[in-house]
Amino acid sequence: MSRRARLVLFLVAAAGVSVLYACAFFGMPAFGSSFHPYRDHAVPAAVAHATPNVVSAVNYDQRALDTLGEETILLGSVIGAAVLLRPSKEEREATTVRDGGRVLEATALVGYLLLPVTLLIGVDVVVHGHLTPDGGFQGGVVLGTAVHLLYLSGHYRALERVRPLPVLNAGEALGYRRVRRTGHRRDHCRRRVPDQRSAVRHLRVAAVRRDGAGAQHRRRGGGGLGGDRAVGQVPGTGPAGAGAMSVYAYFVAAWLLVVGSLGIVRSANLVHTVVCLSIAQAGTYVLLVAVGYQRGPAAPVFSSTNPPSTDVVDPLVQAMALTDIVVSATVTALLLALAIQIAKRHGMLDPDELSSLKG
Amino acid sequence: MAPAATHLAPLAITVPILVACLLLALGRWLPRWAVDTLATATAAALTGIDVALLQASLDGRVVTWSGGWTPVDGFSVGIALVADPVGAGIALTAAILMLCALVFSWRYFDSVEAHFHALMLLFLAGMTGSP
Repeated sequence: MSRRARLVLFLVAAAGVSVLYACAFFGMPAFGSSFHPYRDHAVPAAVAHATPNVVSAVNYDQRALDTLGEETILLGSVIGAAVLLRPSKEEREATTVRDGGRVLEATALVGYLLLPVTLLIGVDVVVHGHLTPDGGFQGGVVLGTAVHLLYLSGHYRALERVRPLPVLNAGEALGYRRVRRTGHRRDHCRRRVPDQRSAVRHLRVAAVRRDGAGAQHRRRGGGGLGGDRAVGQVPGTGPAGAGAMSVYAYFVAAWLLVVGSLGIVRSANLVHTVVCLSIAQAGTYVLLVAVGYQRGPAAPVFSSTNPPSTDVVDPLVQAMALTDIVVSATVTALLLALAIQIAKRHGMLDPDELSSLKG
Repeated sequence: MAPAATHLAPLAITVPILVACLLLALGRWLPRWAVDTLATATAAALTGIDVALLQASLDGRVVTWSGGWTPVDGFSVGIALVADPVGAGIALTAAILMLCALVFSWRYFDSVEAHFHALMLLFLAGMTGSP
């Protein structure tokens, strides 16, 4: 198919999707509304299980099957990448890396400027892991990105120096051992440490209180679905009355999706295609976060300063965004491995030329 | 519906994933015939589970609440695995096809390693989980 025909086809499809997207947008509860029925059930359920981090409760307890699926996708793409990148019979693994290639000065400058900033942000996220949804694993991702900025803006030697792989492997194994021991010891801790015990009791009492309030609300005839928070909010009223901000977030999500897809359609290099795919996927994160946005409430992570009686935002969309990010990263890794294999076999990455080879 | 029937749907998803992990861990040391036997036996076991699931679902949908999150006041925060005859039938078809594919690959591929079998079993788990 010629590039022009592909573009026309894309525009027709994009117009159809835009109409559906707009219809969905006008049928949604208002931007930032407090109508989150799943939140109203998930938060008491997490508190009843004495889990202060509701996002982790959704990810690893309530909807753990989703996470199992996510990890299975991760496992599958790790195997796939390993199979694709494995040297075949007539190949040998190169042990020496030649210096070479040219790095644009602008790329090098941006890389070196961003390196300390990215490192600081990563350390900050890791240090505050107990306060963020999913325990700060994003900090590890940011730190990894920082280290690989060196590769982009410098060369492989520099990356090799700051990335002692044997030490990292040993550290990972040790860390995992520690996680397991913490898991085994949790029950002892509950018996021994009075603070923890009182915190757990506090959570339980709050759960009972919350359930009581919900039941009362239902008895008053408020409907069984909304729980104790949906008072006074009517679903499906549309975004009327909200400011430009309400449209803005959804617009950005749609924009990222369209730009990413357009890039995929017009791409002349498979690596560029993969990058465009991850841009399109970034649109879904924005969409999820926009759905869960509320102005007042706190993060769904409870602590002494944020007791379980406070109003929190919807943990479900945050948990889904985390799943989304992991799946997106694994898919990107697998596709890049595929691109490497194609480049090795055919010596090119232009999808049009590749398809003309086939035909 | 027998009480054991609700255990079938989670088994149909977890068994292939677990065997795939086992194959990945041991694949380097196991001889080829052992890998082939293990993978094919798993596909056969899956076929058996799916037949039992199909039989159970003929008497009504088999509903399993993952993680024990049964609904309270008609609302559950968990994920339900629901097996109706159509879904169980499709899962059974996938298992039978996988069994055939693994038997075929027994002789057809010379140089595959356990990676291939692990990926096939993960694929089967995905096919079983989706309908």
